[in-house]
Amino acid sequence: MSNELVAGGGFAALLILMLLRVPIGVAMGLVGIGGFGAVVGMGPALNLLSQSPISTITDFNLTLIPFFVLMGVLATNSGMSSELFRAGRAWLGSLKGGLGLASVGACAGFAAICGSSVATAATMTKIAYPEMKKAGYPDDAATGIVAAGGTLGILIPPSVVLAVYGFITEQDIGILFIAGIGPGILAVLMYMATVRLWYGSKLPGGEPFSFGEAMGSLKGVWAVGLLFVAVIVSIYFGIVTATEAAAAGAFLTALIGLARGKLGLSTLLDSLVEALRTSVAIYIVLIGATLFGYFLAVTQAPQDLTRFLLELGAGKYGTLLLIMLMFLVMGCFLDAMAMIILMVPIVFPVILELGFDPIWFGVIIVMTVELGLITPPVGMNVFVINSIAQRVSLPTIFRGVLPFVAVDVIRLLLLIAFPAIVLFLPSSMN
Amino acid sequence: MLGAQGGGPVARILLIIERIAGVLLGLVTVLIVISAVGRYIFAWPVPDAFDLSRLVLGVAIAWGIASLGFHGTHIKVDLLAQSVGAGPRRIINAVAWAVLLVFTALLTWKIFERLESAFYAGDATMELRLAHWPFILAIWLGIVAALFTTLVRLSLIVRRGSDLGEYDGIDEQLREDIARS
Repeated sequence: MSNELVAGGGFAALLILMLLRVPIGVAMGLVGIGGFGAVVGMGPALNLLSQSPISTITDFNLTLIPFFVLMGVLATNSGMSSELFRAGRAWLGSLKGGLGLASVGACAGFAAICGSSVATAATMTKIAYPEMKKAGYPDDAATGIVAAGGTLGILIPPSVVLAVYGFITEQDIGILFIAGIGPGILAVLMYMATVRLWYGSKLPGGEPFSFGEAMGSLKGVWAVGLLFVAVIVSIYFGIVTATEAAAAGAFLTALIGLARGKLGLSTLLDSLVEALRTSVAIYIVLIGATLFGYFLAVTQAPQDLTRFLLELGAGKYGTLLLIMLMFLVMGCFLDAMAMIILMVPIVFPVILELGFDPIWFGVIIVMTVELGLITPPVGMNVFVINSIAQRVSLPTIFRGVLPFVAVDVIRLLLLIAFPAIVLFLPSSMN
Repeated sequence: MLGAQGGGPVARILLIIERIAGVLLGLVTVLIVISAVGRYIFAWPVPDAFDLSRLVLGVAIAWGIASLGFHGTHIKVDLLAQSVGAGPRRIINAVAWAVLLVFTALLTWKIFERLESAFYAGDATMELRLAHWPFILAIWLGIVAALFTTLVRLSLIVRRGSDLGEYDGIDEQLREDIARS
């Protein structure tokens, strides 16, 4: 059987298995073994199962995934998001659209301690949406703001998706995290500008807070500051490794939650179980991706794709655009994490061949995936918000999020035109 | 409650297993923090922290696979399943979990071979020379448990038409909070 036939059959089988709700990691694993077996023989293919899964679940470099997931779950369960919103409200609430600005700010703060967009969107919907509703915000604006603000979770470090990208492309995860800071800040500023300029005229202003009250609100957010310093600043200065920073972040979040009485032993235990479940789901996809990698290697599918894309003659940026479009389309039915794990090994050789910086591409592709979280027809964040704010229809939320989608596209174009926005901080690292 | 979606005793046993695995995750977190503090501040790293943390976490993950086999909260594409009626969805779920069962059975078989080879080769940790095989045995037992829990979920799908859980535990936690409030 020719390699091309095996590759085509493998991808078709993968698509069918995924549509049949087979766990994505399992579908990738089975296609990986089947495809490798078709070329090399079933004996060696099955033997991959005795080595590869154990190597993946005992890989020290991957231990940072459960730690960052745990940190996010603990931060969610210990109520840090409400303190961030309170502080944002005290500083920005009196402005026109101030609660919207406070929500974006709180999302950014929460994203700095939580690596999940869905968690950020869900948490902030619970806290900020009722307040905005009470203040007379229209449904589309209120939900659109938290849906877009939630996407910051995947970009502002620590980001679990960026960590996984780093693992599969063998890039330094610490550097990737630092690279996410500049685009993250840009995203916050652009989202805030959208709230003011797009929605500003129809949003009410809030009650002013005294300077003393505003300063007092900062007392509640010291924990977030401390965690950000402990994790990101220590990575930036190379004081600890990304894995150690992740463990320290989770440990400190638990300690702070316990010390402030926001976490009990039972909640702590539940948080550990939640983090474990979420992490295991990611590990299964990673196990599948490793097995799928053997299939890609023997069939030379990424090399064929590279050749095909280069022969299209779309040029460096045209090819990049095609890849990004591919991610956007796949984002309509694939989870962000799964998409990164499945697609990046296939397109990464093309990116290297075109001479793009792999760190820069990591940020660009995570932002593309992030767009998928708020664009129809799926838009994971929109569905999460709809499940919490059930009286607001999906079309209303999608309408509210549209200006932010436009801003995201502009931000992507800016980062493509000026890669330094992504790379200036990593290049200044020791 | 965390977890239980039918299956009675199995769900309760799984919750205990998950909690033990969760505690293992917590212990590994503490171990890495202590080791980092020991190395950077006191120039005294915890011996074998590297090997112990990855092996213990591997055990926790393997037992977590058993949990996912039962709850169905794997990362998967729900598009087709959610766009059809209950009958076809039951068939889709059954096919998906039958495929998962085959994969888990293959894993059980091949990881047992890995266990045998670790036992006879005498693989050990770098510093304390702790044998690897007890950890791999614990991992293998987790996979065996996953085989069992996947079978239980498959039987629940076929007999009672029970659905699969959705990925994202954080969302699930939030839904519980909202229900409580």
